[in-house]
Amino acid sequence: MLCAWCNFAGAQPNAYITNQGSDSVSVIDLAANKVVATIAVGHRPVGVAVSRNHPQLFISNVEGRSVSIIDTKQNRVTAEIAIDGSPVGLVLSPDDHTLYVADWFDDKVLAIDTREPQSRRTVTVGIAPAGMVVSLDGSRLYVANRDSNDVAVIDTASLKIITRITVGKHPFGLAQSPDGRELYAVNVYGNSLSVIDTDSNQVAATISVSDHPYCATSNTDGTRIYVSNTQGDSVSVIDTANRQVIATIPVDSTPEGISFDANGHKIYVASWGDDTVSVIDADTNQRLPSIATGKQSRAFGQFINNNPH
Amino acid sequence: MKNLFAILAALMLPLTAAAHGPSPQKVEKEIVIKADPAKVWAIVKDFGGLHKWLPPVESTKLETKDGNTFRLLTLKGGGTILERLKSSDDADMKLKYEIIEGVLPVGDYNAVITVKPGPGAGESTVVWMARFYRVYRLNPPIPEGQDDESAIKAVTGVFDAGLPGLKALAESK
Repeated sequence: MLCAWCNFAGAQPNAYITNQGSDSVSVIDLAANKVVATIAVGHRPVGVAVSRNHPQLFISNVEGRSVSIIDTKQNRVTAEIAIDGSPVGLVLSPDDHTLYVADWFDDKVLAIDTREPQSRRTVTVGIAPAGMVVSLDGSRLYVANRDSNDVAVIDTASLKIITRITVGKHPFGLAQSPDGRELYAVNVYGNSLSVIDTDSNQVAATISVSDHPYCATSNTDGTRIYVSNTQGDSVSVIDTANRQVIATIPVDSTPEGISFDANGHKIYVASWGDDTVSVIDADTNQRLPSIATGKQSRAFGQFINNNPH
Repeated sequence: MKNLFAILAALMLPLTAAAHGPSPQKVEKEIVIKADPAKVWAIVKDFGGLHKWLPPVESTKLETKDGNTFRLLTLKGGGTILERLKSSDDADMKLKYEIIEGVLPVGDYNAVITVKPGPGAGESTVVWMARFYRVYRLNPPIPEGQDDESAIKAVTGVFDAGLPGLKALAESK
């Protein structure tokens, strides 16, 4: 079988889905669209950050108050870092040397040196920091402060806030365009997406989506944004050229984390309510068969390694 | 009884400042009812008729404003819960609603009731699912009554009382 060969070669990308209710991560082979491994992690995993340069990924365990480090070649946890707070959002710097951890209750972000996890810096941000994005050059960290209704722009060298950009009500997920010129803040109570111009740090547009949107992801060339609507049980497809919703695709119950598979041109979205990952063909906007995961799948963050090692 | 919208107005500030626990909780229950799906759906979609099948509810007061439909539930023994109808879909027989404010120890509560045909002819299966958070929004220790377990227990209690009540009403002549 071709796909068996792919697994041995390790050339095919995987999706890493955090299962809140099973304290595990489901590893999905995107060529076969099936779970090939299940990795036990800490208590109530939510966030995920996949390394670009190393066979490694990071999982936040919010109730376990830790971050699990997983070796993706062996599909096992190699270390667990204690966090003195409640880690939710995770994002890596482009060089993978810094892991940013959003602490949901303590209103701060930790910058952890991935080569020396006890070495940490801290910045206090807004209330209930959630989704994060790092600029392509690594110089800026963007943090969605859910209960402050804004996005903090942080200089990563000094770890100081440069400005805070007011967006819609309760921004949770955050994504960026492939060229880094636009940020997308997903406003859970605003039922909208705020488009931020990263040159001016201004909101350039606000696009209405469906009920309780949660997370967003761009396709590879930046022509589409996909937004998960947790209470709408759907994914909104946005044409970035005219900033219009061009399709709303029903998916399994309560979709949360969403990522784009660059090789297969597919969208994967963790469906918390049905313990599945819903799959959409990006070329046709048609549903493909869902994949059963562990319980209460969340996958908050960019969870696909599009450049596998 | 205070005017419903005076209560709503008073709630505006706490609502915008609302925060909750970090992990959404889920309660999902289902029951098979020996009654036609259309009959069961007619009961479920009657948003102002919850007291007819949810025993802890003394009365339901239905009000609409600006295209939104609310129900104020007054519980036996005191306490109220204010809920908003989010959608009522006849084709899928699916009703969605949220809690605006009330005595249940939950935050950001959204629920959906779905009526499906089967498993047997002339039978219905009702699935009631809620997603919500605990109330307490700080690091441990979590005060008793504001933790995940308390939230789950309260919602489970509602569902366990409601589904047999719905079955009894739908199966009555």
